[in-house]
Amino acid sequence: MIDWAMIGGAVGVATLSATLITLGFVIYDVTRPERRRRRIIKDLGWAYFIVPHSFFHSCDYARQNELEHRVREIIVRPDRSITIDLVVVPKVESMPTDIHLAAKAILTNREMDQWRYKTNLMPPSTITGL
Amino acid sequence: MALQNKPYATEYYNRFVIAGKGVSSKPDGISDDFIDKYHYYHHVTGNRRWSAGVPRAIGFKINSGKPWLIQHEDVF
Repeated sequence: MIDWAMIGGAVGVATLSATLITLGFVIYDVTRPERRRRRIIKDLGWAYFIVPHSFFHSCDYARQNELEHRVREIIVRPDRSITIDLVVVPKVESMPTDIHLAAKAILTNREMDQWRYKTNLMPPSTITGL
Repeated sequence: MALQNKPYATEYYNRFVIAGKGVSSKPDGISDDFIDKYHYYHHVTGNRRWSAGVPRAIGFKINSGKPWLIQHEDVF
């Protein structure tokens, strides 16, 4: 004797499960762009300055050896034309259309005077990565 | 401090590329690069796919100017 009530219940549970799973996938997919956007804003990735191998090419802002170094901050002399090398490790796959190289001030006139007083030199420019 | 005294990039210059399109580009009107008047930021424009976790080397020729902190910034 076929118990149609049991079969109907099982089919109902299976249908409900499939519906919930599908709904989960849909919600996950619909909210993916927003989650990605938030992740890009919150945690884009890393950027380092490269001090390349000494046999690779010359470096304007650090002494080199046989190893490659990645640093977060470099110090350069003011009023110079130099070439800086960076490596960017993005955490999110993307297609950037624009890269900015931006400069922000940290030294006030008072700090510069203090630096001159201590060292008798013009303070260097400090360059930091992300 | 006057904007002219702050460090700014004069050229996108990637020394990790030997030849081809990605070696250098200047804001000279031929390429799409430009330096904005408001911040003196150097904008490198173009479409490049950046994969997650895959390092990309880039480089700039900069004029270090007067003492400043330079913050490297990527805008997507």
